[in-house]
This record gives sequence, structure tokens and C-alpha cells, in this order.
Amino acid sequence: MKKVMTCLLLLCLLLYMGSAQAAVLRRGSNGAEVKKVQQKLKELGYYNAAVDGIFGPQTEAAVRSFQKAKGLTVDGIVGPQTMKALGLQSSGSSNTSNEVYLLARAVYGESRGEPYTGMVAVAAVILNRVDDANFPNTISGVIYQPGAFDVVSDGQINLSPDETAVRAARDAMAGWDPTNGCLYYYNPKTATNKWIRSKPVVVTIGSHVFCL
Amino acid sequence: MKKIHRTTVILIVAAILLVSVCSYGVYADASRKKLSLQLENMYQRSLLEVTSGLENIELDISRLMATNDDLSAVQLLSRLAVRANGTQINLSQLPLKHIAIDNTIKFSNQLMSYSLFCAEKISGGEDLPEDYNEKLQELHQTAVTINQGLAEVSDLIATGRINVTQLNTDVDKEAENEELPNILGDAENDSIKYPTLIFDGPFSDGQEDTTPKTEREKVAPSQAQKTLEELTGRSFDYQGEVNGEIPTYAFSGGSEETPWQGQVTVEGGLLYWFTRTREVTEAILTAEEAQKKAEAFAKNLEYGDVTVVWQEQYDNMIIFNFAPQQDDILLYPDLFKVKVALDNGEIVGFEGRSYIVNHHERTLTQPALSEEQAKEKVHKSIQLEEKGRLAIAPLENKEILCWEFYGKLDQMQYVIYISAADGREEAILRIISTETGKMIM
Repeated sequence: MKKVMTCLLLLCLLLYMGSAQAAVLRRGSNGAEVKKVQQKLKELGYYNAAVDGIFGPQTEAAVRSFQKAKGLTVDGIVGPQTMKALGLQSSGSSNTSNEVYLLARAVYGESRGEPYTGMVAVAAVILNRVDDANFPNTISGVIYQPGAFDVVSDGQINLSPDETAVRAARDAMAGWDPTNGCLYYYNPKTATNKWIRSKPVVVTIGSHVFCL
Repeated sequence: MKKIHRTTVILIVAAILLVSVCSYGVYADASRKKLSLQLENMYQRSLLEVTSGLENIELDISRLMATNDDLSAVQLLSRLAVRANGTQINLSQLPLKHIAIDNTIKFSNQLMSYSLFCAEKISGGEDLPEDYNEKLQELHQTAVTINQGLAEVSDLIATGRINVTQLNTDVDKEAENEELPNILGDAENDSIKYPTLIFDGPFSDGQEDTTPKTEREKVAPSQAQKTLEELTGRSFDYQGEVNGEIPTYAFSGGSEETPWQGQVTVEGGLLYWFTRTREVTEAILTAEEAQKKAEAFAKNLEYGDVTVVWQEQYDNMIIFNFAPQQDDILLYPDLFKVKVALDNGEIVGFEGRSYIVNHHERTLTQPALSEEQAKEKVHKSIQLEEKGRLAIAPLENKEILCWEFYGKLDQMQYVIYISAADGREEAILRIISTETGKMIM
């Protein structure tokens, strides 16, 4: 009985765990991210004290001067906007342009574990759809079209992409298309849709088959 | 004190548990119903936007057919474009199978693009396409037919007697069936005729932008492999043909940790794309050094006189965008890209689709305007840099010889293209700084 109760409680806890917050640095934070910020502020001439990874009053003052100089909200807190202005990658935050990041999330959800070219290929399919008359005209329109991608239907789109996925998304946006213009893909081992299986295969990459 | 019986305690605890579970159940169900209702409301709204959008589209096309006034026509065409875009957006928000709505999406997209194209023509004092009136009639007929197909369903929608969520669930329960009962009624019927629209704009039915402008001889896979291996200095294995938009031969090589992949076109044996997958953990080379590596690689392609126009940097790699030049005129449509790793200067990527499709021997007419005359055409508040240059502007679907000027206004950097033939401002692009370098949009 006790075991059942503890299991239930754990389950409830898990259910209520929200997604991770973006990293925000403020007075009292410490670590490698703080070091990066201090180093950057030092380079830019706003910070003169030790680069020790501890966000103390001097670091805060430097952040404020920087924010003032850049026309940002002066609050002494390094959030996504300040990070972006500093030119730093903030782990797990949407420092990248929104579109690239969304594309990366879709790629991560749909093809993590696939060969790198396969990830670029998935991103390329999404971009090809944007350009195609039969599909919505924006990246978010294509990704969020109901029923289009499993990762959207099951919520995996909300996972944070890793660096490989972001790089794959960037490569696709820069024009790399391993599929030569394909608009569809599926996993032949798991896809049951007869219509998509009847399409001629253009190329197979990893566990995905791509079609025009 | 009377001792409380053990069974009683258990019964009380059980009762409390039961009540809590039931209350939670009721609460959860109420939450779900609320969300379900909100979602259904959003679907209803989208559906209504689609049906009323299509009705108004039919009306606007009919007005266009009757107008005798240029300004009127431009206003109507602009409004039509907005409506068509709205219809497409709302349509793609509905939980419908893609093949049930793709024709209507295409119709909306083409209508939007074609309307804008025609509005531009009229505003610019240019001639409309010869078959404009004919196409208007065809578009109108299509709109009428679509609306007829929607008629039955429209009524039900307007009086709130359709539940999109319920309908979609029912559809899903059917076997994977190409013949789908359709919320849009007969709007996606195969018997609906859609006009073929050919014009200079996105979504045109015209020649797909994947047919290369230069005819090239087919080559054998062995020839293609030789090209790839010589250019990259690596060995590859032939994987087969890829019959995508541009037929290519695919190759792979390298190890499992750092694989190489590449494709070479069947026609002409040109390098289409290759990539070396590996992590570059540090940047040792400077951008200048990396550029030299890229330029050396580009030289081996033998694409003539080429020069770096833009670059992007991320993950310790730089992508250099090259444009070929003809008679000192930059050919932006023929862009190709070379990716350099900043740890050892290795060429880790190449992308050449635009070059393959667009490159051809051009007869470039002498500019009718001089650089000074072209500068006059730029907005007075923009501070231009000293020198401009001639270029085929980076526009989609059209090639126009322009004078290219870099300039500044209010801390913002611009690139402005003035037609060398008639001084028209063909494009205004902005240079924005992002975390990957400068981007031109």
C-alpha cells in the first residue's frame, strides 16, 4: 500500500514539472556562464575586477553600465536580451533567431539520433514546404500545421534542441539540401499511411525515406 | 476511552482517498472540457474565416473583372492578396488531413502571389500579362465552384452545427483512406478546375526554378566521382542516383564518426553539395586566413572570376558566399557557398544549387544610367558609400542589372539596388548583425 502511494505521489510530481527555464544570471549566480559574461564585459571595458565566475556587486554594476549603454532595460540581470547584446551563447535559451530555433526544435524532435545529414535533410524538407504553393508560407506555419509532424502532436517540439540540431537547422537555412527538394519523409519501419508510402523515393538517409 | 477499531480507521482512510480521487477526477474533467471548448472555438473561428474569405475572394475577383480604373484595380488586387493570404493561414490551422486541403492552399497562395504581381505591374505602369483577363475569368470560375462546394457545409458552420474536433476524430478513426470525408465538403473535389498561372513570382506554375539555365551533357558516375574526389582530396564510394528536383549522383566516404557526404549533378558533373560532419571545437584561424582557404577551393571549381560577397560564422566554421563575375558585374543569382573549419582550415562544406540552376552566359547590356545618375535615385537621407558597383541584383525569379550601393541611415546599414536600365529602385536590403555575423535581408 505504501509503495503504491509513493509511486502515485512521484507520478504527480513528475506531471507537474514544467519545462526548464531559460538561464538567467543575477546577483548571487555563479559558474561558467557568469565567467563568460565577466570576460566579455571586461573585453568591452565595462568590468575591471576579477573574472571569477561569481556574480557580485561589481559584476552587477558592470552589467548595468552595459545595459544603459546599449539601451536595454537597466536591471543588472543578464537575461536573454542582455546575453544577446553581449554576443554570448546562452545555454538552452532562445538566443538564436526564433525561426532557426524553432526549426532546430523540430529537427531535434524528429531526427535526433539520425546521421547529421539526416537532420539537415529534415530541416530542408520543412524549408522546401515553405517555398511550395501547397503548404503554408512560414516556418511556423509549416511546422504547426495540424497533423504534419509527430513531434508537434506529441509535444516533443518543446524539448530543448542540442547544438547539433541547431547547426543542422542553420546549415539548411544556408541552403544545404541533401534531399534535392523533397517535401515528404517517413520511416518505412513505422509509417502506416498508404498514401505516403506510394510516393516514389528520392533518397534514403538513416532511417528516413524522402519523397518529392 | 473507547479504542477505535482498526477496520474503521481503514474505512475512513479509504473513504477520504475515494473522495479525493473523485474530486480530482471531476476537476480534471472540467479542465479538459474547458480546454476542449477553447480549442473548438479556435477551429470554428478559423473555419469561418476560411469560408467568408473564399466568399469575399469570389466577390473581389468579380469586381476586378468589371473595373475600368487602374487605381481601383490596384486596390482590389491588393485586398485580394491580403484575403488570399488570410485564407491560407486559417486553412492550415485546421486539423484536416493535408491532402484534403492542399489544393485550396495552393489556390490561395497562387492567388495572393499573382494578385501582387499584377498590382505591381499596374502601379509601375507596365503591361499586364496578355492572358490577364482570361485568367481572371478562370480564377473567378474556380472561386465560384469552390464556394458551391462549400455551400452545404458553410450553412452548418455558420449556425454552429459542426464540431470540428469531433469530425476530425471521426475521420481519424477511419482506416488510412485516401477518400476522406471532408469538412470542406466538395471544395477539394477533383473536378474543380484550377487555372495554370505562369508569372514572375513565387508559386508560379511556370518553369520550375530547378531546370538549369545552361544545358549540360550527362556524365557517368565515375566521372562525377572523379570530380568530387579531386576537389575534396578524399575518396568516396558511389551510393546511387538521387532523382530529386535536380538529378544527382550521391557519394559517401570517411569514417562513421566523421562521415563525408556529397552529390554531383548528372548533367554536367558539377559539384552540387558536400558536407563533412565533424565538430570543430575551437577557432584558430582568422577570418582572413579562412577566406584564403575558401578562395583556393573556389578557384579549383573553375567557375571563372569569383569573389566573396557575404559570410556567416557559427560553431567555429565560416560559410563564405561567392558570386561569379562577368565583365566586373557581380552575378548574385549564381551564388555558391564554401564552408571552412576554423581549427585547421579544412573545407568542410559546399553548396552550389543556385549556381547550377542559374548560371549561364549572359548578354549584359550596357547600363543606360551612369553610377552618378543612379545615385541620384536613392533616398536623400541615406548616406551612400563612395563607390557603387554593377550587379545582377539578388532578387527571386528575375534578373535585373543594377547599380549596387551600400549606405547608412540612422545607424542602420542598407544595400540598395537601382536598375541600370531605368533607374527604378529594384530592391532595398538591410544588413543586420546577428550572432552568426551579418545577415542581409
